[in-house]
Amino acid sequence: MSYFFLGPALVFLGVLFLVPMVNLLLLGFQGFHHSIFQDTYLVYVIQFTYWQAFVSASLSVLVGFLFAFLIKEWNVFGGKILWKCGLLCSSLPSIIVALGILGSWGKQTTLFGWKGLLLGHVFLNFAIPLRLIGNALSDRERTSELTAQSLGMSRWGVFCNITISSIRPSLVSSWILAFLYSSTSLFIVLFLGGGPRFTTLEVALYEAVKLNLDNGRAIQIALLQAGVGAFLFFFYLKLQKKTNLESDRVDIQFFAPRRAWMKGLGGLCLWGLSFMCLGFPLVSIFVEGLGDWSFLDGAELLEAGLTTFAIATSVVVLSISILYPYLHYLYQVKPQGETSGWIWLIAIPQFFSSLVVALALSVFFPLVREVSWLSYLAVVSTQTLFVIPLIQFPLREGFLRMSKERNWIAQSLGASGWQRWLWVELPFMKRSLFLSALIGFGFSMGEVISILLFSPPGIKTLAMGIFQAMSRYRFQEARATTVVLLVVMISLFGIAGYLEDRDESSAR
Amino acid sequence: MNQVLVENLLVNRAGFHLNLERLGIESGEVLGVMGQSGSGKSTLLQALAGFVPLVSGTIKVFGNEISQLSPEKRKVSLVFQKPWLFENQTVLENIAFGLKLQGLSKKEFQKTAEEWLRKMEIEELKDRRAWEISGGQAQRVALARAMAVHFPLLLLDEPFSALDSPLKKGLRKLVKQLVRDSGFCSVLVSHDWRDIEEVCHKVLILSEGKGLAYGTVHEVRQNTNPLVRAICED
Repeated sequence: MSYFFLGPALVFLGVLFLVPMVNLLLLGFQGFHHSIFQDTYLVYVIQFTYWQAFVSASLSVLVGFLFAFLIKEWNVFGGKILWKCGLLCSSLPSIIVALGILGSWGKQTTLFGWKGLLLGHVFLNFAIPLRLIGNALSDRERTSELTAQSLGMSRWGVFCNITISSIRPSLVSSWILAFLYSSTSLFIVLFLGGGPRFTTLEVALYEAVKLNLDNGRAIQIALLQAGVGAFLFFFYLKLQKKTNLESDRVDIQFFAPRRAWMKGLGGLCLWGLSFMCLGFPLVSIFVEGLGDWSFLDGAELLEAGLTTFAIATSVVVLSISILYPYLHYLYQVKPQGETSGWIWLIAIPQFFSSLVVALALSVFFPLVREVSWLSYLAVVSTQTLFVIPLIQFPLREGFLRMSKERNWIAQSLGASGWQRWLWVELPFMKRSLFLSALIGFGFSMGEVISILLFSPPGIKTLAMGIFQAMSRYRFQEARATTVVLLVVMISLFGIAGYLEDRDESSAR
Repeated sequence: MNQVLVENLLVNRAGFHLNLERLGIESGEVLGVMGQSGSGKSTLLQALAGFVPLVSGTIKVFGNEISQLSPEKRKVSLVFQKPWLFENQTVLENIAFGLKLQGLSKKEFQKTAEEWLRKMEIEELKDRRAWEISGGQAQRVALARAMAVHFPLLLLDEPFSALDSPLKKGLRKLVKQLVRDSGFCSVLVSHDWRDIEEVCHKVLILSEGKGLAYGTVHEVRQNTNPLVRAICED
């Protein structure tokens, strides 16, 4: 029985991720020390990659913490809007962020280099700490803070000694994720790095694969990336085991400002920072993009739109049909016991860069770069590997709300497996499924790397169109296409946010 | 005569063993089950309902051996601490859920469901959705849903514990009366001795998967075992 539910996901993950990755690692180990560490430029690139990732992650956590604290503890005006805007930023394709920064702050040539990288990475990653730390602040146990204050400890003392330690796991987790994403980002470095002095391993990997066609070097760089990814994955996993504490919630805003003007000032600073760093780049795309409308070729745009739609639909259908039975088994069928190991198994791909995963796939199945329909299949499969870890959250929440007991009651009343699924589970999971489909759609629409690597002949998606236009310095065309993509993505995100709100209110 | 008879029951659940020699429930009677956390109360209910397989033993309900049947074929209905209503359905549809599965016509199941709405005094909620009613009302719907199918064995897993005192009192009385009138056999798991005193005829006290005391409410109340006394007085 369990094979029927778990089988598709395990076969998919094994054949398209684990086996190709192991193969890549084995190939990469051959002569690893000789080539990588003897190339002084590459050694410099390695150092720069992890240095910039360290600074980017630290800055992202700092900004995310500031946002989370002011929104959750100070309850600043428009906090909910800022919370949602933050999440929108993290779901935007990095190529759009690069274009936005280029079109706004990028007009000052001093931006290129490390400043551009940091700005781009903070833009994309600050929402991770915002969400993790924000949730940790909301869910933390506050009675010990109240007790400490009643015993004479100052608010600052309570913050440093109790609050920080209670949200520490979320601080470290979000730092790890931000570090990982900053060290494997491609387009931010490619377009905002400004040259070989500010390049990273991901760009070196891209150059080796696409420009120099040097698979040997690419594999060795990928091995290094994968090693760091695997190390961070296990560290992150270890951290998660320590955070499964449940506490009684006391709804008090413990650190609320004592004076109204402080709250106003906090809100103003937050809105100012948001507009300068996040709003300005996005607004500039819209303002300039709408003026560049004439640069678009209608027929090409339609074709790109249809291709994007077709790939995104395939990715959504494939990810849901693989993940749904998997989670159904874990939450509705499996006898009581530990499920987190199974959950982490399907989340592994997100700890590796999509370029590394795509490279592993193309090395293990060389035909995917030669046969057209296999190239499409590889694009859909690679995107699915990354969509599954994203959509597991809404689906898991749906299954947890549905609960095994509800299924048991239906079963005890005489409902067969199919009747329970059709009459009880499916109506219950409808919203989670829709939300998952929106997230999958959003991700697939903005994804470029797998399409870039497998390059099915003649393929052009909206995001790929932006990349090609930017690479040829046709920024007007890139901006106009971005407006189209942005409108679709913001609409999708708006619906997803609305559904999330409804989920929260029905859970209450 | 015992209409529900459990003999030599052995359950192994992830290393935890539930071992009971003999339990009997007569028609219209409620058996109370008490014990500390982890003593096997919920495991017993899940074994009776078929969600946990037996290592050995028999479960006879009105003469039929059901231990080898799948849960949907056992005719054993369940009520939990939380009502777990089907949220996409109205109150009436929730109550009619099991009746539809029994193959009743629309007219028949609507009539029966409306009768149960009357018995539970929640007629005015008929067309409301699950999220539009209070916790106490939802628990009444859950009870009606489990009883409307008229299965011979009704399992109640702490159904009153999340309710406030006046509601609890009303529901205890209602459950006792409905079980007696309909001739079901019922098992009630609870942590509250008042539930047992007011609803049950017999009591089983469990400790670490074994029966520590079994008898009428009065007999168990007189038991001198310190652990039994502690559980009853808790």
